[in-house]
Amino acid sequence: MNKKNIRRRKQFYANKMHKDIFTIIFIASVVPATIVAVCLYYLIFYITAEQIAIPEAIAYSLIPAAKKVIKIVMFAAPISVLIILMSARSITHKIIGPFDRIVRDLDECVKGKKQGHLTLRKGDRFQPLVDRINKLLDRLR
Amino acid sequence: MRKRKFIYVAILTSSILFICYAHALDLPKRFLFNKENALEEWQEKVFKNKVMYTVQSEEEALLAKSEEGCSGLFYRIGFSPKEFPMISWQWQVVEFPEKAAGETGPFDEKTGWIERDDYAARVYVIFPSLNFSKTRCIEYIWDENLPEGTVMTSPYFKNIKLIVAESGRGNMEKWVLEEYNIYEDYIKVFGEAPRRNVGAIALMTDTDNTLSTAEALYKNIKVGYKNE
Repeated sequence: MNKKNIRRRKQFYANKMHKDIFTIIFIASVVPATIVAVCLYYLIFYITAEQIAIPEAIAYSLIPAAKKVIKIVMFAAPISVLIILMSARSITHKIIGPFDRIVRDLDECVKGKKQGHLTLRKGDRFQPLVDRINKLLDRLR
Repeated sequence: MRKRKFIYVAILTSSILFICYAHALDLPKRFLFNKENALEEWQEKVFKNKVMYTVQSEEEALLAKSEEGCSGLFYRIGFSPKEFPMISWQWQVVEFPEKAAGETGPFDEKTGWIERDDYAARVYVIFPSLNFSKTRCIEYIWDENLPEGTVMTSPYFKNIKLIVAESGRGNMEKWVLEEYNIYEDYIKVFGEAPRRNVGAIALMTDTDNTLSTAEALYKNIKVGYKNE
């Protein structure tokens, strides 16, 4: 594997498809979590407050609990979102990057500019596909 | 086609108006305590120990006896405090909670006020919010020591304001009539007009902090009427 093959991308999004997939992953993780959080707030805190009813009792028992929950959420939510974003970026780069590369290399092969095999970066997906394309290219040559 | 559209809009508008103003149909609401089952419409909410609330139908009054207890009677009622700002009731204190010498002095928010947050009688006006931490409440209290008209913030929560409606032992064991303008009191204690409707009223006699006993009577409660 040469240096070119292990080069990492500097752009956050490789292309529009990458941006779309990344956005879908982000929305699919954050939106349901937010909906669940709102529902849980309603289910646990709002209904409990309705049941307790006496303002002093709410202030004494429920508000300290809610404050603790908010602290945990404020601390954990950004970390979780960051982890999701980093994982999504890493996974999508390994899928979208080789897809672009295969298309580009095949274009060059068609134009006769590229003679060798198609290569992928370390850890990229689609290696089995590239192996078969290389076998096909060998047979065609 | 146009006529049908108009009918739909009219039905929708009248439904919305009905929903918005349906609560006003029951107003003013009176609580007379003249029947044995008068407490059926109230919910009992227990904070610490139970307070004995019993209807005295001959006297048309509600007797509250607390022995180291803290529970209140809660009634959900929705109305605009701007449109129907008045509340009135009669109350009588038979026994005050025993507050230690150090707990009867001048009001000081910093030192152990929760230990003296017991009152022979309180009437709550609650302004609930979807975000429960923004619920606001005005409590009219009868305190043995604090001067009438004193406004305080509850030691439990900044959104609970206490107004001393009656003070001292001078009127002890006598029926005292109180009438307040909720809208004006809200502005006085919170510094702004209420943005939410009244959602409930409550009554409480409590002695859980002073670990003592107290006894009070309430009667002829009337809420949600205009100042005439």
